Amino acid sequence: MSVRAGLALLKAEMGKVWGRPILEITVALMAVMAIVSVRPLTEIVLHSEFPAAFQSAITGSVSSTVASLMLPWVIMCAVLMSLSFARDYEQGIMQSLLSVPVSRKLFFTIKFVAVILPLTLLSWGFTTFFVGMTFYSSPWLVLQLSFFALPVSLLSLMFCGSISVLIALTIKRTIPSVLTALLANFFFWFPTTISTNSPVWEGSSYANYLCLTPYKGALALLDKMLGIVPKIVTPPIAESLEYNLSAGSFAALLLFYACLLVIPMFVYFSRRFEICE
Amino acid sequence: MGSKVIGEFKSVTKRFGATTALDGLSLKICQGINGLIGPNGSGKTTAIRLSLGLIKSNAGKAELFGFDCWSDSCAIRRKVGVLYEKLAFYDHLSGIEQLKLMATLKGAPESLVELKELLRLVELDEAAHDRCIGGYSAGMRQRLGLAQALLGGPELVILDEPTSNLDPLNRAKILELITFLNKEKNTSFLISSHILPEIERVCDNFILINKGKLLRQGAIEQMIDKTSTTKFIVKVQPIGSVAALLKDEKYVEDLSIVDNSLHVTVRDVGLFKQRLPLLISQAGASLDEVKMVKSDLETVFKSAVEEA
Repeated sequence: MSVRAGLALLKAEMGKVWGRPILEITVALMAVMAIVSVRPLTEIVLHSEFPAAFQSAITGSVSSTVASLMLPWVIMCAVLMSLSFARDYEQGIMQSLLSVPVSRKLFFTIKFVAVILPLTLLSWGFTTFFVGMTFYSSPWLVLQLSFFALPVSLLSLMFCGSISVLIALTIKRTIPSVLTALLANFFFWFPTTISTNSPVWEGSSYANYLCLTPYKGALALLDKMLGIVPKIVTPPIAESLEYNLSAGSFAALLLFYACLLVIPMFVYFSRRFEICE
Repeated sequence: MGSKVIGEFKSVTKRFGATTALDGLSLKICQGINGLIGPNGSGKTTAIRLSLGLIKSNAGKAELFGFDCWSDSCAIRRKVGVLYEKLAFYDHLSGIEQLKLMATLKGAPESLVELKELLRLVELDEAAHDRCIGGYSAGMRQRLGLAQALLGGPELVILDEPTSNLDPLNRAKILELITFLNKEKNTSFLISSHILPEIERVCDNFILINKGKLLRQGAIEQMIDKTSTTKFIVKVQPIGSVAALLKDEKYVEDLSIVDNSLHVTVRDVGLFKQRLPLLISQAGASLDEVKMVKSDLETVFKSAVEEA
């Protein structure tokens, strides 16, 4: 299978997945979420106190902005990935394409990339742009964010996409697959809306583990890489996992989640998946 | 079945949960035009999918061109073109773009002129070449699917209900095209269809399956020989008394009176020929004419399936 054939298939897949009005809807959703979630930092402080005030202001603020931006791309990834696999299976496109000498490995990779690649670039662009608008006074932070947001978006989307593929290849029906993928991904996204500081402070044991969920873990990783620490570091928070785990641990966790389903799904689709629709 | 065997199923079994789609199916696909026939749910499409490596058999061995249908499916798909009953394309592409893409995927990039020639061959309106497939009629999609199956000059073309969406005129043209490609380019075909008279007209090898098992295989003459019932039209006067006597004969499968003639389907031709004169004289009737109805594929199909 030549590179030319792979690129031709990728072009056709992207044309189908991102055809009008999908791209427009995705951009609009991300823009709306960005606009409603970005808040200016309004605090008048003495110049000498600015670094401390700034640090205090950005704590949680970057996470919450990125978490809000995460919602539209989690939704779109779940919808598009499950649509891409389940609809193609149901309508017979998968059968037609796998009846020409296209390897299943290439077919799976192309379908996965056709959804993930544009979403990664969009989410990275939106995150950098809108968080940058809030924290324009700290170009170093924005630069760091633009650098770190790309792998974090990619790995989170890989996790989101792989759940959707698993659901699509199991259910094999378009609408039930899309709805189930949406629910499953929303379930994993939901912890990002919970600030773990207060529950940890109040001694809630479950809150300590929320940072280990995929999307919350991605935000924690971003915070760690940007050097953002909680405002108050007293015993309950100081002993919490989110505070104690290193950026490397969160990166390994995110990488684990990203590969957890992608690799088994890739192997299953290449070796065992049967097309009998 | 004198021609070269290009594909073979040996005791192939395929189960989907509790349903057995193929039950120890053994068949041979020969060079030439093969007709795959059988009632709905007999396992035709499963056999086609299995031969292209889309599904894996639970038991038995399936080979095409000497390659294993599951583990060497890519090698098989290089030699085979396929048109499924369920037509699926990238609807946002034009007919020409779809063919260009499929040609690239098949590793047989063809020039625009060649692709247009292919579309002309299947008589797809020139105005439709650059239109999105999403706007095509069912017949146009069918013809595009056929053009897609013929891309890259495959050695075997598998057609699942190739004429189902076409009008009688276009059906005839497609059948002519199949015969032409077989004679001029030595392309072999495996055609699955329920329109038996059409299949009978173009095919030289028939594979009749039912409930995932092979019932008959061979040329139409061979299949007719194996058919256990034969139909006769008997003209006698008076008709009623002969009909009453024939009704009690054990070898008579079916009996009806149509246009003052007796239509008799019998299991044992020899016994019928021996007994008929006796029954006529017993009834005091006079025989005007006895005619054996030539069996066609439909008769063979009905008789074999009912027998099974």
